[in-house]
Amino acid sequence: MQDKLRIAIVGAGEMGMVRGVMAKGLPMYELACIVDSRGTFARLAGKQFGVRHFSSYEKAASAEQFDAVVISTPLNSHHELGLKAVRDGKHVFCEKPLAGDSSLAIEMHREAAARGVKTQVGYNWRFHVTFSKAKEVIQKGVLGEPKYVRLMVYKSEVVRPEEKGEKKNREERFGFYGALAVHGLDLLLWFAGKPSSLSAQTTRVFSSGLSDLISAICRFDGGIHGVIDLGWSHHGFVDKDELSLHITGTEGSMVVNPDCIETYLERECGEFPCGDSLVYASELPYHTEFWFTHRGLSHEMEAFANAVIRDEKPAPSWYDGYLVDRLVEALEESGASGKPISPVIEESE
Amino acid sequence: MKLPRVMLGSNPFHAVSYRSADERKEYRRRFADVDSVYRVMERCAELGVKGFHSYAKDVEIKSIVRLREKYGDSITVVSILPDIYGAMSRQVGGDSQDKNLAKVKMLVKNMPSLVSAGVTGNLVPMVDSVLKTELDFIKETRPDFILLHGTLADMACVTDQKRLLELFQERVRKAGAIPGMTTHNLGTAYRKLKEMTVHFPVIEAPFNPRGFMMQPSEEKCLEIRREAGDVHFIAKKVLAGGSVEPRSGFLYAYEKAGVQSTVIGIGNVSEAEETFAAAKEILGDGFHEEYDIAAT
Repeated sequence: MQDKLRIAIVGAGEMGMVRGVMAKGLPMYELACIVDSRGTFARLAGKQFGVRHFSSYEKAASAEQFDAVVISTPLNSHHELGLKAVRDGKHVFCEKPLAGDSSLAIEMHREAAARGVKTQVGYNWRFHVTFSKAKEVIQKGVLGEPKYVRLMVYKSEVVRPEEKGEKKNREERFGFYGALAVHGLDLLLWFAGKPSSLSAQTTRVFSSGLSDLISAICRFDGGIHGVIDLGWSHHGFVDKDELSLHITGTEGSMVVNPDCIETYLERECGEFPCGDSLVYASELPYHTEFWFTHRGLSHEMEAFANAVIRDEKPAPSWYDGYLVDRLVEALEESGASGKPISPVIEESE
Repeated sequence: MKLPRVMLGSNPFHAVSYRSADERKEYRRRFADVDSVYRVMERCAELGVKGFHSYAKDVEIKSIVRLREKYGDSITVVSILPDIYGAMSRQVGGDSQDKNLAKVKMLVKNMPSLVSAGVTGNLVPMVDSVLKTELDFIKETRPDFILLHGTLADMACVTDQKRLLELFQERVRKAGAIPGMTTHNLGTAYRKLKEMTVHFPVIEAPFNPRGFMMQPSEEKCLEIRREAGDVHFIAKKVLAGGSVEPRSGFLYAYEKAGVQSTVIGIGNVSEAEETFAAAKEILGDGFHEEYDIAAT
C-alpha cells in the first residue's frame, strides 16, 4: 500500500498556497507540481514549494506523475477541471462550493463514481473539533432523538454598496454562500439529513445576483424541523466565523459553534452531565503533524489522503457538495417566488 | 539581553480569545485606546512582571513606549513580526478594517518585487520590504527580542525557506535585537530547522496541561524541549485558551515541560493580580529571575 499521496495543486491563489504549505507539512502528502494559468504565480509557487510548475492541468498531467488533484481555482472552473481530472483517473479534492449549480455538481459526482475515484469537497468545518465532537455524541444519542436544528451564520462583509468590479467578483464567487454560508449549510445537512421541503424569504441588500439575507423554515427527510438564518449584511459581526448550530432532541439541547459546545441534558449521558455543561474547543484534543491557519484544515486534508491510501469512503463527498448546491438553489427559488417548495433531490447512485 | 521568567502577552489587546465571540467583542471594545492597554501593562509591571510582548499594532506600540518612558531598560520588550494585515494597511496608508482593499493596494505597490519574485523565484526582496516597514514601525519600543510570527515561521520551515529565515535573523540583529520564532508546530518546525541548520536562540511554542495546540503531540513537544538544550523556550497557550487555572498552567510549564519563560495574555487588572500571584507562588524568588540570552 502506498504511504504518501502524490498531488498536483491547480490554482496558486490564497487557498492553493495554503494547500501547498499543508501538503509540505503533512507527512502523508507529496507535492508533485503546481498549476496556475498566471505564469508569474505558477513560477513563484513552484519555486516556493520546490516543485515543477505548469500553466495548465493538461500540461501537468502529460509531464508529471501524480495520483490526485487539489482544485483551488475559482468556482467557475471546478466543473471542467473536476471532470478532466476524474476522467484521467485522478482522485480529486475540490474547494467549496463544488459547482454552484446542482446539475453540474451531480454530473461531477456521477462521473467520479463511474470512474471509481475518491472525491472530497472542502467543507472543512466538519473537521473542526466542536462540530465533529457534537456529531459524534449526537449519533450516540446524547440528545435522544433530534427534532429541531437551527443554523445561524452572520457576517458583516457586505454592509455598504460596492464598486462594480468588487461586486462582480463576489457574485462570481457565489456571493455569501461561497464566502461562508455553504459551510453552515453543509453542517446543517450533515446533522439533519436531506431537505424535503422549505419556505424561504430572501433579501438583496447590496448584491444583485444572489441574496444577502436569507431566512428559511425547513423539514428534513428524517422529520427534523429546521430554521436557517444566514446573512453577510448584518452590522457588527466582525468575527471571522459567526456560525452556530442549535440542536434540540427529546433528551436535551445543544448549541455548537467554533469556540464551544453548550448542552442542557435531562439525564447524564456519557461524558455529558445532567443539566448544563460547557466544553471549549481548547479542551477537546486536536493533534496533527502540521497545523496551519484554520482549525479544521489539517484533519480535512488528512482525511482525503487517508481515504485514498486506505481505500476508505471520503467525506464530505462530491455528493455532499451536490446537496449543498441544491439546497442553495432551493433557498433562492423559494425566496424569489415567495412560495414553499419541495426540492427534487437526485439519489447518490 | 535578558528574558524574564514571566511575561505579559498581547492577545487580548488585539481581541484574540479562544472562548467566545462575545469575549472577542468585549476585548475589542475594552482595548480600543492606548490608556486601556497601558493600564493593564502598568499594573503587571507593578506586580513585578518585566517582560512584555507586543504585536506591531499602533495601540500596543504606544502603550509599550509609555511603559519604556516609566521603566526604561528595566523591562524587556518582545515583538512579534510581521503583523501581516497591519503591514499591508500601513504600506498603503489605508483603513486597516478594509483588509481586502488594503491587500489589493499592497499587491499593486509591491508589484515590481512580486514580478521580480515571479521571474526569478526569489521572494527575498519582497519579504525584505515588508520587514523593513515593520521594523521601522516598532523601533520606538526598542525591542530586545523580535520573534517571527508563527504562521510565517511554520510556512518557512516546511517549505525549506532557509534564506528567508536567515534574512529575518539578519534584519533583526541589524535592528539591535535578538531573533527568535514562534511556532504552532514545534515538532515539525524544530526538525526542519535542524535539517536546514538554522538556529534560533529563542523559540516560543504552546505548552499546557491539556496539550492544546501542542503539535504533533504533547509527548513530542516535551521531548523536543528536553533535547533542545541550546534553545530558550517561552511557553505560550499556558492556560490552554482559558480552560486551565493559572496554577495548573504554570506548574505544567515550569515543572513538567521545564521551560525557562512563560507568556500569558491578560484581559484586566484583577486577572493580572490573580494570574501572577499563582506564578509567584510556584516560582518564589524565581519570579523575578531573568536569563541572559546570547545573540547567536
